[in-house]
Amino acid sequence: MDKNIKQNNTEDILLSVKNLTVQYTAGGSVIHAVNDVSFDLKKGTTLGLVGETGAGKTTIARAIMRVLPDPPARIMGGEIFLDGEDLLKISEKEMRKIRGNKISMIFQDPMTALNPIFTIGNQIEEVIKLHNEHLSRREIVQKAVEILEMVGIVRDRYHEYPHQFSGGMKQRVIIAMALACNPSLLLADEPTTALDVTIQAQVLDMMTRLKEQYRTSMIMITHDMGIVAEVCDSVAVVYAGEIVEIADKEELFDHPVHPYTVGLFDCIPDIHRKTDMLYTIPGSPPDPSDLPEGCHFSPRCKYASDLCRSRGIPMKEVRPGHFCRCLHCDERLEMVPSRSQICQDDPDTADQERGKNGCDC
Amino acid sequence: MAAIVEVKHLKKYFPTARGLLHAVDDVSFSIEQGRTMGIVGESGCGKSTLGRVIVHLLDSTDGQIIFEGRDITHVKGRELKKVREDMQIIFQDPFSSLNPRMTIRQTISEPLRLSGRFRASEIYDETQKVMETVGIPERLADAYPHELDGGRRQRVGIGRALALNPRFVVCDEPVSALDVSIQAQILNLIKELQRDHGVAFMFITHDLSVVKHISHDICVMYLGQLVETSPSDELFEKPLHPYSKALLSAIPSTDIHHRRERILLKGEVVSPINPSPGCRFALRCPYACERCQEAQILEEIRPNHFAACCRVREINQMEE
Amino acid sequence: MKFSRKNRKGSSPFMLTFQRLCHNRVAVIGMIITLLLVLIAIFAEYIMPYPYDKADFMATFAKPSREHLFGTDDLGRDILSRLIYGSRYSLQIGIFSVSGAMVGGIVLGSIAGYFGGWVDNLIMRCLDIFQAIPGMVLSIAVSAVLGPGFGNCIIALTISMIPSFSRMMRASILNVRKMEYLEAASSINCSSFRIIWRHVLPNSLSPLIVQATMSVAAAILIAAGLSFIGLGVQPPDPEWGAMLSSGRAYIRDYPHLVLFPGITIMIAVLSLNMFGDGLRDALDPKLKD
Repeated sequence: MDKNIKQNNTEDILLSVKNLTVQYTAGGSVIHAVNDVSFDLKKGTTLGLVGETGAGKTTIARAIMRVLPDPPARIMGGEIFLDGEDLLKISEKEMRKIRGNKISMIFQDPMTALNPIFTIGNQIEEVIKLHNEHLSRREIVQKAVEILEMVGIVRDRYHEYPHQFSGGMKQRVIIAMALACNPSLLLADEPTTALDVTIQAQVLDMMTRLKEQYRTSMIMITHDMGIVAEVCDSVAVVYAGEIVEIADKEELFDHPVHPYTVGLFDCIPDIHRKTDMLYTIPGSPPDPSDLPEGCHFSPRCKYASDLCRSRGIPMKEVRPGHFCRCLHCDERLEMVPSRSQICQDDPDTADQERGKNGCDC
Repeated sequence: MAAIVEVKHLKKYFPTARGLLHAVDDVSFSIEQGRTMGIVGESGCGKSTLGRVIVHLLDSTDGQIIFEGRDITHVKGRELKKVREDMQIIFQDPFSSLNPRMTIRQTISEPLRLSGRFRASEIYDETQKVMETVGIPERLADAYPHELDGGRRQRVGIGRALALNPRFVVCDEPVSALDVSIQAQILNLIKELQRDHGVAFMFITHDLSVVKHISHDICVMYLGQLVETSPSDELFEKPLHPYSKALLSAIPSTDIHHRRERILLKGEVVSPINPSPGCRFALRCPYACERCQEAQILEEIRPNHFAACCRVREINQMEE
Repeated sequence: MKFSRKNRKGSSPFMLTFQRLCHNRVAVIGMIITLLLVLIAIFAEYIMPYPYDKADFMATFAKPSREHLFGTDDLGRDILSRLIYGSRYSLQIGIFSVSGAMVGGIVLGSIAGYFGGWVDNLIMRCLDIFQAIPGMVLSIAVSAVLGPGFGNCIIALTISMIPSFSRMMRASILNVRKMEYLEAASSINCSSFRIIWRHVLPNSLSPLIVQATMSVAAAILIAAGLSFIGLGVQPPDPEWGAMLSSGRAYIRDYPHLVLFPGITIMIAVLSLNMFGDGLRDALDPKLKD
């Protein structure tokens, strides 16, 4: 708490999360949803938060937005600086001004995010009105139509209701609404998970385009490494409420170090390679109310030693800008062949390489 | 090899307020013993309906289902009971596919009990065997579904389907509700079961990388119709139909060094209510022309590789 | 969140519900008071200080005192004893009429919900007609036709409550019908009867159980109302509502004649509602884990 020091390189850092810890209390047990998470987000870039269900990705986003239900959720500590201002210290009234103006959030399910009894146009107008009080009625409508056309929906559908729109169109409208007030930070929580692949491609394409146009920074929450590859500039891998590895996208994709990250890559069937059996990470993600001692990944990790299980693992810089929470990261860095190498290698030997890594299911 | 399941001109229409919904429209294919047929398509393309019609959870509107050389389209009563023991289905949602008030053991032993093949004393051991096959530790036998995570629940669902050693199993998106690390475990399990028991699978999914991994042959469906069918590897190397091409290019790839050119489709998937006879993909197709207004026929373009597109030769020559 | 297998024994859905219920203090209080009332009704004969019908003309309208804790009524009968004995009538009316309505509702609702189509339409339209008449009015009408009395009061209440139970059962079954485990059941050759019995009913009863606890309270109130207007339990039987009714003439001079029956009804209804509320929270699948 006491290191409330002004950063010296604040110029290009938009969001800085430091030691964020969030807990839920449910029926007497404490759920450690987010544990000591820190990261920086540079202006105009996109950070991907990758992890499995229940890893705490959404909680991180909600904590930044300050929309966690309290109780049961409670921010136990940490700081969230947006443009140098600690969002956890300001009043709810000030926060309300920041929400929508500086930060917008897109949720996973486009079906429930729009109010079914108002027209699409109405709902976009509403958002614009809220954040631009000086505009006249005509200007508002004009801006709303512009926004709709920007996401590729024709003017004629302005007066239609949400149920007349398909899932992909709804999600585009929601993204348009989120970007309508030109926020400096966009939090996207699995925005395409509920959509079909071809529609997902449309939406991702549109998001990247708009993001560049408005120079918005973004945090993309997803479980799909493919989406990270498409839209993100840097990646943070989240496991059991902790960031276990964080680096630039190229660095992380080419040289994943943490055994969990490596496992995540390997258990995705690759359409460019033929494998008989997939690599699997044994076991299941831990119960967040009963996290394993020491490294939370150790029960599923084949490199785990007694030391791993005995104490918390500090974040370590393995290569410039590449941080990893693993005691064995140095040895692993030498051991794990870079992924680009595997892909170029003869697929057979690469298979054997992976075969050795074992497929215990 | 002998076909275990053959489907001929299968149709399933649903009456809706706005007209007839052609959920499955004139679909024909066959699945060979011990092999896996992948059915790929986007939501609403009729792939789940197709699976349910084949295992007789829904009645077909028209067409034939042939199982091991026998027409089983209209079987009833005791015959149907036998057919159902040989054909099973694994469901998508491991949360809604298990009865929350039955223990794991009860769920898995139910088909054994109902088959009448086992004496009461044998059922316990049989259940144990099934649980071992699908990798559920014995200590969980008396647990209830809500105590298990998604992957284990899906194993229970698989166990229930495989308890009676069926020869054909429809998998309706069995991994799409699971996390990637769990997904790999389940996919491996399905592969092992096929290797050890020679079960033929029909694997329905919207995830192309999964289908490539698991299937020998693939059918691509669009709005109730087959648009392309081919051996798995060939489809991924050389898709012929414009829809398959777009679908393949839309998968987000983890390969960050070789960016592929994406084919972005315009428009949205509509629902096939009272469709016109022409190609249903024409509205979104970058190559659509006048001839697309006519009905399209599934044509063998390369050996074992069929596509339903009147311009398929043109389009693929253009690219070569 | 996902797999806490620490106490394997108490992990059946029933035990889990019970455990969750015990975490809710209000519900536990409601449950304890309800249980106490039931015990009082069962052992009424041994608990009551005087026979409920023993008139003492020397002590009419006695104020609450050490001898008569709640005082006596116009005939000098001990109000506490009458309340204790009256709990039998009130609780029996509540429990029997609700059980009757539940059985009727489950049968009609399951048939309508599971089979659908014209069967559903026929049953639901008939019930609509019943439901168009307010419950109290319907009970009055039925009691008026059948004549006053304890048994008829139960029948009247049962009939007026069947529609809401059937409706709830039907809605609940429609919910369960969408579940994939029913498809799974038919794919492993379950018969329709077995599907309803093993898979549908156990999963659709919980809203009904909640409704039942609440309805017992409502039934006690309506029964009190019926007795109050002279259509329910007949004097000298000490049903709570009847006591309220007979005491109303003296409300100005001797308020304790209506005060204590009123408070008793209130406590019974409140505790049942508290218990029902807690039960609903405990059974709600959204709050699970």
